[in-house]
Amino acid sequence: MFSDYTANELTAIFAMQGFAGLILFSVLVLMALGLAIIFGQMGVINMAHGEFMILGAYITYLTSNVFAEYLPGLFDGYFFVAMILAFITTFLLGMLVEWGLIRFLYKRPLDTLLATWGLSLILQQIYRSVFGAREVGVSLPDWMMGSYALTDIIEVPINGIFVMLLTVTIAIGVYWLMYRSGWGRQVRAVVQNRPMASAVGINTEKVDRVTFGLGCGIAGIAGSAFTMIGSTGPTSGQLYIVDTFLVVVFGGAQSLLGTIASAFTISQAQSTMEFFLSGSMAKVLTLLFVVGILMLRPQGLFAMKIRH
Amino acid sequence: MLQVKDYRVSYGQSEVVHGVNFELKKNEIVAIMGRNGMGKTSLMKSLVGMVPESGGSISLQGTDLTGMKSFERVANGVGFVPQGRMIFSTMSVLENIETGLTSTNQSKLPPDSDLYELFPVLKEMKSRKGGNLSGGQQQQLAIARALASNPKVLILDEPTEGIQPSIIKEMARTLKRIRDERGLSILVSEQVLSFALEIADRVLVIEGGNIVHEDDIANIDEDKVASYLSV
Repeated sequence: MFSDYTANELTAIFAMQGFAGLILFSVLVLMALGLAIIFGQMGVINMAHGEFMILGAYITYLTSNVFAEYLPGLFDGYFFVAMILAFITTFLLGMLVEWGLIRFLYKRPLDTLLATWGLSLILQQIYRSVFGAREVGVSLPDWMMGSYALTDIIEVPINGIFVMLLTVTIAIGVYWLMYRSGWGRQVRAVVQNRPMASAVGINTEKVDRVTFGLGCGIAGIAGSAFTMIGSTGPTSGQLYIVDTFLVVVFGGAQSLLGTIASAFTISQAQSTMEFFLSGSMAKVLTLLFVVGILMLRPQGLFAMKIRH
Repeated sequence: MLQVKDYRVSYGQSEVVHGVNFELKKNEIVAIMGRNGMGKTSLMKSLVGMVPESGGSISLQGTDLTGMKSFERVANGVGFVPQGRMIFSTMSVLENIETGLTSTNQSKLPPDSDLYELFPVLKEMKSRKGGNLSGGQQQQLAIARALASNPKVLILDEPTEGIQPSIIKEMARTLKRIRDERGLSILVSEQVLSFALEIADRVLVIEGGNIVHEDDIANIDEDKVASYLSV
């Protein structure tokens, strides 16, 4: 399949597909970070995670419209405002969902699966009723449009670079929060031993609520980034949830580094193969690869080594 | 100081601790002795709120702790070292100690903390994962973690379990030192009579969920206490 191209063209194809893969990687990482926090740390399988992402995307869409209508002079900077609003909205909704639904189900993991799936259907219908069934797109400010030509035939889109920088920043922020801050220490203590964490003075219910909110908030930011590479519809989130779970499980559920490594592997494999094979064939090969690895290493790519 | 009245603990319908009464004075070390399955651990866990009490009351320096959750009891001055130590094994030694700071609203342990003076080995190992420590070291870590919240009462559940004899002696000395330096009261559950005789001012014997015997260490009838402990 490579014989139809010259060596030069092949390099360009790999470089550009690789870069397209990096954008997919960014969205997957942002989605997976949120999910990894919620699933890896709390053991809750949040089927509505994609809908939280789409909520972030709709918030971004609304913000861009408001800026275009009332503050056209500041349109260049709307994206940053949108991101913060997306985070706040999804964070608050996440805390509300934890308080109203999830906290009753910690001892019944299968019921959480069902409950959050139901929640995802409810949210989808709300989006459909409020925003309509048609997909909406946001218009990017001028500075994010266009692409940067590396060589004659290799071009990389500027919004892609932006999304990647954003992802790196957030990944570092989440790492700092989980492994360097006092709050992250509380989260990890609760994850390891809930009753004992309480018996050293940690308010476990509050930690649970904020953790769930934070996971959803990061999904909201992922939604903001998502508006740059796809159009937003009520069911767009569902397309990503399976891939995201794949990333989290493949990476090792409690390892943030593993999540990033596995998102990179999966998105690059997917993106490069899609150019040469059909999309579904690429997916089949990716899945086979992941299943194979997981049979050899059921704990995922990265797992901690300690005595118990 | 710590007052426990008609305290009851149940799992579902079956009551395992039947209305015990005791008091812990300031600076006093009290050992609760008893064989396995007599309700020691249930009582201890319940005092710190890990198992809710099903009746009676508990108060510390006049504050009623009854019905409070664990973290609220800790904030009011209860420190707990559980049976089996239960340190957070994937977290570093320093992080383990710092989890105990939560209720004090501090986040970082000062490098010159007196906890390091009590347990020098923890300073050497502060970046190691808690799970990679030996049993005796983990026990010291669990005590340091409980002390980090500045408790008024320290509750230890079978601290000598699975620890080698030379370290048990050292632990007895450390616990007394903690009591003298920090002026707190200690409640310890124990099966090893020699350890209890070494540290305690008073001994309570629990059997079948009731306190059946009480003795000051000064005039203790060792044979009688030992007879409760023999199988």
